[in-house]
Amino acid sequence: MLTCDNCNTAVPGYLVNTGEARCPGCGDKITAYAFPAIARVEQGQHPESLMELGHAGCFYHPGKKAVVPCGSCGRFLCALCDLELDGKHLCPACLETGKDAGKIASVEKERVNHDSLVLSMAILPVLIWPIVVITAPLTIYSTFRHWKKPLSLTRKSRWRFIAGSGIALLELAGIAVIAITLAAQ
Amino acid sequence: MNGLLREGMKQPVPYKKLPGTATLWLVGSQRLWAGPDHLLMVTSSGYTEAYKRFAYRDIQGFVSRRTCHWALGLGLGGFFSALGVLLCFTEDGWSLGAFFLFFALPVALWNLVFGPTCRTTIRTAVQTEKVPSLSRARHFRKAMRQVLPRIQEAQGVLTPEEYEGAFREAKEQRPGTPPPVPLEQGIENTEGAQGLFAGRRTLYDDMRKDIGLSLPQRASLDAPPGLPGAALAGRGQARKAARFWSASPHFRAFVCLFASTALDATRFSFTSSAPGLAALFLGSAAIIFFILGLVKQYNTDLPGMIRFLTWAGAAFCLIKLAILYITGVLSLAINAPDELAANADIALAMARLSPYDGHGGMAVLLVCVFGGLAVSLPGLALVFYHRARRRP
Repeated sequence: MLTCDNCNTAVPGYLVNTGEARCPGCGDKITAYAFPAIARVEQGQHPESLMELGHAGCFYHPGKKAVVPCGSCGRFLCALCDLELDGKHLCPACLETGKDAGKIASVEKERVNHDSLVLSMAILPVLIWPIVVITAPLTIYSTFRHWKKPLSLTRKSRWRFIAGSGIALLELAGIAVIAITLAAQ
Repeated sequence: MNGLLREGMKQPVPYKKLPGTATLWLVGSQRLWAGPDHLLMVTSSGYTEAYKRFAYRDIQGFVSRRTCHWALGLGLGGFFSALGVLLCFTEDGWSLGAFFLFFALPVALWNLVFGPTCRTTIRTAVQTEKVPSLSRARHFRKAMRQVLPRIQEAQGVLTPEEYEGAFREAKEQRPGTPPPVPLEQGIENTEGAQGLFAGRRTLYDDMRKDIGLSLPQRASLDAPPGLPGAALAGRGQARKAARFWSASPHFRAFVCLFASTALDATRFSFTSSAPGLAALFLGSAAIIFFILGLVKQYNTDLPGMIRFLTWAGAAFCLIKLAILYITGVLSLAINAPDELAANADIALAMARLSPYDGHGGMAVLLVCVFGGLAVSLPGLALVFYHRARRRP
């Protein structure tokens, strides 16, 4: 049931999907949208028992009838073990492996933005210039190290890597020029 | 498996950014993206991103409630901007005026451009999640225009009858739910005493009759005292029903703040220790009552505006006390450095401060008086309004 987040009063039916109206509880203006999922009752999967010879059994529940093979490891799975993800059927073990490795985008919970780190590292010497000696090589190293790692889910471009390493190269060139000038003097 | 993993790495999911961005702790941000089969909430801390997904087929609903931050930001920003403009035209006050304009004008313009604020929550069967990025009504409307077709494509359209059916089912699942209150009794319970919302309620009742719905269940109003407000708590709803509360600490705090402000205002006419000390005492009492109110207002039916004014009042009183203390110390340091060691002397110096000693003192007193009035008067009015409307 949808509720007002201020007074926790249930939003009555005549206020749902009708635009802005006053909450009957606290009088604040609310806009509520409800969808059929609110009236849906979720039913769990009930795997069939293995009754006949010749039928394949589930790898994890040998007494249950297999309905689909795992799309990754090929093990037979019953309806209970079948996990559908992006149209593919996986077993719990493969899903867990992929989740732990952080390589199934659909279940990933967190990512590090290496490209932003690289760009920040390249720009940081603007504030504290002496650390350029450390940050410039580190920026170039990080660019090569993390180039192939997945970016943010909502980014496609790697321009931060390119901009960061470009700035770092310029900084290294500047350091070299200063060093050569000092050596010549 | 490797093929699937490689596929996950190489094919970024196409997301479309929805309007609105929330800034969290200056460096972080929170945004909402529309994916092919789910909404993605991205909370970024600058270098890391945390993701929450809401599948279109699982979203039960959105609720957006208007908040008063916009009106307050616009009002206070506008007031201090106007004050700044006026001070800029005085002979010696232009620097103070520029200071006010520098801070207040962006606040006013920001709120003017982006419009009313709101608080949005998204609900699924297992969670109710706040969506900070949809904190402006226009962002919420724009986002809904993009999201609603996707959800309706995944789920279809909910009819009012289905919603009411789910409502009744949720009620039946909770034993001890109070029986539905007859329409007349419901009105009497809520607005009958003062009739403030009679017209509005009639309009709702007409709408309800038009579409043939039953009386709305409001646990916080209709449930007898002592019974859990189960009528509103559906599946996955862990939070208890809001309880009616008369907001006594809030009332006392606003009264103390108003009295303190009135005593402060007397300094325009005459300077004496007694009203100054009384104002100081009342200001301190207001802080205590504000803190009490903030502690006790949890899970009550108090309107958001009163809650916000309580926070604003507490902050205002604390800042006012700090500014008065600093000016008192400075005054003593300049005029009588020997008396600086005693706290009582500092309090006396604070009480004796005259607004006509300099522009700084006048500005501090103006801010204290107008700020106090801006918080205490709407606060008192709203508490009275709340009590009259909700008195059983």
